[in-house]
Amino acid sequence: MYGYHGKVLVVDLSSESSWWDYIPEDVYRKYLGGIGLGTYLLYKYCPPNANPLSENNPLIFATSPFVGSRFTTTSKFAVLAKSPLTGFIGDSLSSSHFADALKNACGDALILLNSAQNFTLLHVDNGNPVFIDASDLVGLSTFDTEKSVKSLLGNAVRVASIGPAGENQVLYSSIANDGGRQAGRCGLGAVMGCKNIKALAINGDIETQIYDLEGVERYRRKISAKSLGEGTDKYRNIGTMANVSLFNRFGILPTKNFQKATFENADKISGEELVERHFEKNSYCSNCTIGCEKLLATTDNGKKSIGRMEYESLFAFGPLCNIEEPNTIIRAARLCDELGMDTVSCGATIAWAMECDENGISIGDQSDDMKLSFSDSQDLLKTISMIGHREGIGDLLALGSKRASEIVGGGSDHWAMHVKGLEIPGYEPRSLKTMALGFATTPRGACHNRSSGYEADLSGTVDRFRADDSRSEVAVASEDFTAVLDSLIWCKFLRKAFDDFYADSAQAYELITGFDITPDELRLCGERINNAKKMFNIREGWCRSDDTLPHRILNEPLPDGVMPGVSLSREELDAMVEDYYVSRGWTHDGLIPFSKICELGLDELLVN
Amino acid sequence: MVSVTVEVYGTLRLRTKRKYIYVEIPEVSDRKDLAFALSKVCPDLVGIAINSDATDFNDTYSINLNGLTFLDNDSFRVMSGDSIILLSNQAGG
Repeated sequence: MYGYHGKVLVVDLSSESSWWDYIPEDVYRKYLGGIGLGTYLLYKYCPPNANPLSENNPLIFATSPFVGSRFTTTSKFAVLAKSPLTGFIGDSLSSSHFADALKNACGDALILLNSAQNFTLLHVDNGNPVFIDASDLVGLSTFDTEKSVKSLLGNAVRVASIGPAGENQVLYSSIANDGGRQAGRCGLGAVMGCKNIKALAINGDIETQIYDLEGVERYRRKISAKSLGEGTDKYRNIGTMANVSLFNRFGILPTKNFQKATFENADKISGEELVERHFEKNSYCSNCTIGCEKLLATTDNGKKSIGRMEYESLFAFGPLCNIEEPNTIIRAARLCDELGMDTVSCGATIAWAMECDENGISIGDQSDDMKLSFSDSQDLLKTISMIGHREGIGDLLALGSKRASEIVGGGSDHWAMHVKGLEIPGYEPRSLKTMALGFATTPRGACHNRSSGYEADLSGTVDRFRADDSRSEVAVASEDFTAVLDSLIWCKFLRKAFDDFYADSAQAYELITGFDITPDELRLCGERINNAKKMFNIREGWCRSDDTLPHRILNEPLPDGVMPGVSLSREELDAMVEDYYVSRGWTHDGLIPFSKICELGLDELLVN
Repeated sequence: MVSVTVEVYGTLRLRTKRKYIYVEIPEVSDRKDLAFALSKVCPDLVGIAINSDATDFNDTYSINLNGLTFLDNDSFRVMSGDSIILLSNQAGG
């Protein structure tokens, strides 16, 4: 087989044994790799109704056929497990050297089963696992863990680790690799912590063969050149932080926990401003020509801190918490990376707590001596640290906004801004109706990456203020597109560099694997992968009422922005969701008919 | 002729060092009118956001009236004080 190893490494952490699971060629053709292959493996290895924070939940690291091709932006891997935050499929992507090492050492995926007895450093050297006591690493930040592991095993190993948040099973903890990149969403760090794996160290040199080496080299040069064109200009020069000023202008910048959609101090924290005043350097993933990640430095009199900054972190600790101080936001993002926590869920859960304070609902232990209120940046960093260590009020906030609001009560679920338990990223759904539908229906919960409906809303192909029946086809197409993107895996920031995404990607896939595939067949893979994810969720108890949006979104019109008063009613959302089910070929309750399952070749999952 | 404000974001703002560019265009205009007027006032945009003969905007940029309506190839009506937003089509993150 070309482009694939044809096998995945399975490691049983409790018995300290391992074996290869040989994967039929047909599975690769159907699920491609990355998120798609990971979904297939999750369905196979996760027993129904497994407690996400139990040894029954497998943790899967999946590579892709493009890893090793040296195509720009393709050094990426997917991490999957049943999410402790949502109870449904949890998938997240990260990138850089760890992806290359993973493929050279572990086949097409690494599957961790059961749990180690004590905190362990799992070293996989060319497919051979070695279990090393990690008690010395416990409590270290993700950065220090990586440093320590490299000093122990040498710089040739690539490291993925959890920080204190993962050790303490904060439900939105992340897995970090290559100096601070994060598989951020869905709480997969907590799953790793539950397995008592503090870090993975990987090295290997078992490369896959490429079907058409010359063709791949030609393609590589072509796509690299395109990656330096206008289609990636924003990501190369300001990065995703550029969204702040534009989103503020369009009235789609969630502010004060989604109470508003414009932030009066947006200019102070805009991407343009931060690049001018705080830029330190660009950061590039392995094999990437774009370098989207901007490292920013604090400029105040406090201890200097350098942090990676992306729009989602900026929005979550800035407008969402009504904080205008850039140095605080840089420190907050850096602290989350050190502790190993998703900045979106962390910021959104803190914003929920701030609104509790605004409404006179006490959630903390008075002995914490904290004042967690909107605009008050003083206690933000302390709160983040307490969450990572699950101390005081942090123990409650470590559960995410959904669970915390259920415990606190007092109607605070009305401002818990999540879908299926996953906090909403920085896109205001009331004035982005296609995105609203995507947030409601995407299997992993509120997500702008698995459903990029905002692209239609912000391109003028639809009226973003109106909920109408034009959205379902757009949302379906966007989800299927991202499923292919995340399975091959291309970086999302390359998407505007393609002339025709499906045709270009089919060509690249053929050059690497030798598998004949048409653009339409590739599109069908996207549909299959999204149906497989949905099947997993249905198996785990999904029901129609899970495809919804928070109370605030469905009951409070937006007070500001370019169209004050714009709203999204429950009836409007329900109508869009039902249209979406029709477009997917599902029942009106959102279930997948058996005929559809067979049509997509997914019936094999039911046998598993 | 009507005075409108063109708002500039992202990398264009860094390159031109301007947040706002003021231009005059006909009350009923099209993309060509706007591109041409803008190219005269801010030549730095030519070859980046505006095509080389200043007859349209490049594919990687969109234009939007007052944050409400994206402007396509049809003609559009502007009033004094209107804002036209010039944005990259690399929406979101």
